[in-house]
Amino acid sequence: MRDGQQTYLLLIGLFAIVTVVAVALARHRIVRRAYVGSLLGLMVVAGITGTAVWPFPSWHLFPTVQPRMTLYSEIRVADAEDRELRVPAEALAPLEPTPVRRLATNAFSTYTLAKQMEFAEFVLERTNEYGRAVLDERYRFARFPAHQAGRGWTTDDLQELGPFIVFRVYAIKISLSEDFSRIQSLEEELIFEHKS
Amino acid sequence: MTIFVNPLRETKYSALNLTVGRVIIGAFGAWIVLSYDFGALADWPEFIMRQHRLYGGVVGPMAVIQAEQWAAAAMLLAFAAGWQVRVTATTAALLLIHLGAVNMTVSNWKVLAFFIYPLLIFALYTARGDRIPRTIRPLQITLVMFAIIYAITGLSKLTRSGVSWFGPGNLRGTILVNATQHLDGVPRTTEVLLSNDFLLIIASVATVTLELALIVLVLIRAPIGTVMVGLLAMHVIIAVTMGINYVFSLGAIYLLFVPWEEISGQLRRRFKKLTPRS
Repeated sequence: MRDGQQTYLLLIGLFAIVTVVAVALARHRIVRRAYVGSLLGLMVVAGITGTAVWPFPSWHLFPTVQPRMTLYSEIRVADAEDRELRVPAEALAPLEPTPVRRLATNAFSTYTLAKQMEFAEFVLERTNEYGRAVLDERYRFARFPAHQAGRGWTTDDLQELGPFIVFRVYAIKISLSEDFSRIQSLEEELIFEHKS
Repeated sequence: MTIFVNPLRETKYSALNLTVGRVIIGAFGAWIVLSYDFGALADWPEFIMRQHRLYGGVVGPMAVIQAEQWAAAAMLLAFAAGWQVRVTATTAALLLIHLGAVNMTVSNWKVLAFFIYPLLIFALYTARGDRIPRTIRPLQITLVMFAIIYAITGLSKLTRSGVSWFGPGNLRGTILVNATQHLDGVPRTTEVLLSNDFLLIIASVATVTLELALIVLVLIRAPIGTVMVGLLAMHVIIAVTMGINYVFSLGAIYLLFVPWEEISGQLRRRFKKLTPRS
């Protein structure tokens, strides 16, 4: 275990113990005040320093100016006849779109080839399972609306598509025009392919 | 009558508002935790979990995650029903913290925090054997917490970007990139906003102003209705233009500040008028 992880484990354990003790002794006003004061204090410190220590996110949302160029990775799969579809985050639940992009970027910059292939096989298996669930319309129950939108597959997307056997990762580059008024170019480059 | 009231201003105790608040936190919390596929994590390749394990030690065996998810949902529903409030609220909050930490290893679902904080406060302020707190304090503290979150969000834009954050290019670029990533392109309705520099600047200034205004209004005990409606509108516009949805997760918290007591009183009066006297 890394040092940071041990420290976090210690802190979160302490937080749980303090919480249980505070609730048990909550009839004393001073206990309530101290606990609430600490919670508010931790929220403010996390926010001001920009250091997120769960359950205290920093809540710096879109704090920096949008750069002209945005780079990210996208995972797609294709069937035997090379008909390609983007893998939506919901196929890789519980991930959301941003972590899927981050994972794809990390996987193909830091993993060994063996691990990249294991990852590719895992995604193919997951994606085929997800495709079957979409066709069975098993995804129709009232889920809490996702925090990040991302179009999932529909039965229309899957018409006549065979099982997916090719896994690909693309590097996508969005360039905005000089005055940020439109997307100047959206380039994609294949950086990894794996056929099962 | 406004839609959202500041409980630091309207300090009258309302058992109905606290009960509705408890039900909303419990019910929405259960819905959100059940909608989330924690069980799927058990099948993830071990090395991915390890590689991305920010909170390493706390994760524990993945086999128990599913059980934990059901336990959290059960605790939240019991809390909503008012059963053993102190125990169920504390347990639910701690389980959500752990599930959130597990989730943070691979994803970024910080919206669970919106439910964790009010649960902790309700646990602290409900006496043993009671179903609701005997003071309006929990609603006051919850509102202060959410105002702090907004204030930090607004402040971080000023400290990290300054004036350049308000240039029309920033918001336009942000919308273009996010719409491409989350919505498969820019919806036609968004283009009205994108083609108008004036609207973009107004929207940017309004965003930071609203985010910073809430904490001030809350603390000087002023009415918060207008600012809350403005913030809610901001969340709706962000969801529509960028595909980032705080409307439901934060929306649940907004419901805590609807004057339920007053609404039910008015409905009762109206109903009485409609009922013919015998």
